[in-house]
Amino acid sequence: MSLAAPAALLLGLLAVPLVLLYVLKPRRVPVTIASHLLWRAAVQDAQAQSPWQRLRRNLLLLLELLLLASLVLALAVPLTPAAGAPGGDLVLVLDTSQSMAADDVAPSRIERAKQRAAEIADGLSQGRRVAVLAAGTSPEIVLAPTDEPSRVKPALARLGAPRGVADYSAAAQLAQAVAARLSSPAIVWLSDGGGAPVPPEPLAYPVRFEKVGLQTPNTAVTTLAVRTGPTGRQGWVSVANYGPARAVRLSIRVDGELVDGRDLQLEADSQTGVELNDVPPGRVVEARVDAGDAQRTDDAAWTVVDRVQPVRVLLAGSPSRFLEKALSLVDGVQLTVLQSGQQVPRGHDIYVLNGASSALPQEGNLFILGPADSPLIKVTGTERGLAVTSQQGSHPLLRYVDLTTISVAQAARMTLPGWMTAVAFSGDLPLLAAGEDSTRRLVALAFMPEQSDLPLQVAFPLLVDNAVRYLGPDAGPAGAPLATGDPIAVPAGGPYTLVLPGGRDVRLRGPSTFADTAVPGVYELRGADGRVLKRAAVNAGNRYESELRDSGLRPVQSEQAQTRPVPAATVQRWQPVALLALLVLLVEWAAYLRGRPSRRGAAA
Amino acid sequence: MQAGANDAAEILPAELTARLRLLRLAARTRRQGTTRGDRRSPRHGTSLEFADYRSYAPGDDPRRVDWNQYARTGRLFTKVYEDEEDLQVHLLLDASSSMGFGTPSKLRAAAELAAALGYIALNEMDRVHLALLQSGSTRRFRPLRTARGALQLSDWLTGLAPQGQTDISAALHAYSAQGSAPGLAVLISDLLDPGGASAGLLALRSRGYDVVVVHLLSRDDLDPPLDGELEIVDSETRGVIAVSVDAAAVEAYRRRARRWVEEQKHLCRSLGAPYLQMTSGEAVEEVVFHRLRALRVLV
Repeated sequence: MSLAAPAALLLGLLAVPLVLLYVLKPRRVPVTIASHLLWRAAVQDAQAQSPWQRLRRNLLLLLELLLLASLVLALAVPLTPAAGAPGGDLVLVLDTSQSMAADDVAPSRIERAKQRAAEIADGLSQGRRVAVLAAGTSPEIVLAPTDEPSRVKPALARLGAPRGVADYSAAAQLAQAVAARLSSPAIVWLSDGGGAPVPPEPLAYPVRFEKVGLQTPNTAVTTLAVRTGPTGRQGWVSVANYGPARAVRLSIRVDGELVDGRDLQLEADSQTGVELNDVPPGRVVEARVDAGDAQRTDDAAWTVVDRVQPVRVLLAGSPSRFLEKALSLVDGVQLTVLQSGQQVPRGHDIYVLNGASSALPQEGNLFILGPADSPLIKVTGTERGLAVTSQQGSHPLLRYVDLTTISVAQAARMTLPGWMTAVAFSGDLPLLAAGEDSTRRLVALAFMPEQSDLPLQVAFPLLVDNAVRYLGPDAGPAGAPLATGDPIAVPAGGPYTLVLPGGRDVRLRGPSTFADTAVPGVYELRGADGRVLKRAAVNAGNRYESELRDSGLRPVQSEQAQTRPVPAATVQRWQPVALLALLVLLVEWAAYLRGRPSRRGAAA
Repeated sequence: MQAGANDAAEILPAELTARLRLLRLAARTRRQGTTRGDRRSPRHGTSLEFADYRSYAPGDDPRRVDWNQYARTGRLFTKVYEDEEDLQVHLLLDASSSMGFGTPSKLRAAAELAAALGYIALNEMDRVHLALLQSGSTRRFRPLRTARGALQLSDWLTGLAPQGQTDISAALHAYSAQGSAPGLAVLISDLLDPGGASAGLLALRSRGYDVVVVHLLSRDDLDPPLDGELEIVDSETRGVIAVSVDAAAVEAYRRRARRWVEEQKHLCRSLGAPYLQMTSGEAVEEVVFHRLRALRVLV
């Protein structure tokens, strides 16, 4: 049995004043009687003059405590598994996004959702199958369909802390795919109703949405950015208030030292921006508000303001002034230009190879422009007079880059390995591709800059900058924080030690990624000698998951699925408890009347 | 709430008095009266009631010689007759404050019973003494003898009001010592006296009184309608005790009251005094025509 409203159990504290009422003596009523003669012998009340009396075994008190317990239990709404419901197989979808970490329902939204999922699984009919999905940034199958409901709890226990932004659309697609493998499936969706505002496709199966959490206000630091300008370091903090107007104190720390403090008056449901001037030098800047609300993980944000080590880039192949200039402009790059005829040296993070080259370096990541046929990329010929007809805008290589306006005089016809993905095309011919095999990352541009008008476009330096970020050991823009759940790239080599915000460390080898970034804070990657190689800030605050109030995001079911509603797997059992309370009340009344001396008339 | 004896208009209804004429008080021992009356005296007299034989002695009235005995036995026997005298009836009413409780009040019930007994006695030409026991003393009224005295008795009894404390033994001591002719003493009291009544009853008995005890209690005395946290005030002493009255306390009181009544009954039996326990709500007719006759106080 579980409780739908366990907070009501706090009403059980009323037992304290109830017992006190029995311990405290009431004010005595004077009554004149004929004589004390018989009363003196019959009654001895040694404590008559004390304001307290010894708590005797009292049937009325016991009944009243039982009555109180019954009422409190009824208000807590006990839930018991319903016999045989739901009748078919079941897909349980749990929202594991950042907002589920809120503790506005005890112990937290995610734990409550886990409890409900376990209860629902326990109530399944014999032989029915159940699957569990996690609906986070990327949906995943936590438990493949099984006819053993006992496996649900262990699977739920393996779920990590809530992180990232819920993607209902992707989760609905996955739930649909899993349900398709089940018999008479139904989907139960446990969520707080918040996430990325992408409405999911209608589900072809019956779905029931169970809301977890309350309409809770929240204040969060949603943005923290620091950049170095001509007048020094400037910063920008954005504090979002999802609730009524309130005041908070904003504290700015650099490397743990308090450097600024502001009292902010936040209007209801608003974003407040704070500009920081002359941020003192340091490695990590932290902005924190004393919100004290149900979601504490987004009360602070961090950003890394200095690169730990420069990215060592080697430019080889055909000389290209455009490429050399663009690489040299990338912040944090230590560029080496290899003269023709020189041996390719070792020890660089990125090797930029302009033009056909038969000898590829055995280490480091590669940026190949105008490739020749090689074991990595097969080139079957050349094409002339091309234009980019489509590009995959969401890929990090094409961040702020528009290639559809360029013209290409000549490009290699690349046949890509399976681990590479084309992100820009001319028709069906890949012009730009990226990927990662077991040892390195690779970016391939089918032409050299000089074979197109790309170097004359604003897209060129942006593309080069993105390529360096993609291939460099410190993936992502310098200082750009990650969101919880975003992976941290670990460069090739190792062993490394990743020190987590709480002080816990994890041993890693590269190239790899570390995805367990549910805890916001600063993650430090250290080498074998203990030297810090890389820092990454992970922040929880964002506009979708810091809004703890129900945004109304729901899975929907298609027309044909609506004919079969999903029955509840648990039944509320407050009625029998309330009936018990009524019976106890009647028994108490009878006991009171029985214990009360008959009143034939007023006391003489 | 206390009430006096005058909370009803008429203390003895007319229809009851007609029936009371059929009764008479039975003296348990023969007493020497003060005037000739309807009672047999310990002195043999000249009434027509035969008492015994004795041997003839010179000077005896020859009309009292039993000649039939002489014919059978050859010896002269003189018939001896009872000398009939009046009975001294002492009606001793407890009129302390505690007698003002009950519905009707105990004092009212006591007055009705005393009026009935007084009427019976006066109707038999007995001498009736009424005394009120209050605060360790007695308030005595002048003796009554004639049937007209019944009206006076009713007047006195109608105007009674409870007051003062009870000290039954002291009051009975005082009464027995005042020199009235002993006779039948009917004590009507709730006996709610911490000092008890045994010493007073013994004093009456030692002075030659036949004593009848009517133990008059209200239903509240036996089964108090109290509940809760109370300060109970004694109506006579004004003393206060704090009690937590619940079902258990009331049950303990009931047990104590039953035992106490038994103790009073045992005391009276040990003194040779008929004992009657009545409650204030009981009808006087029931007490007079059945319960006192069953005790042979009335015949």
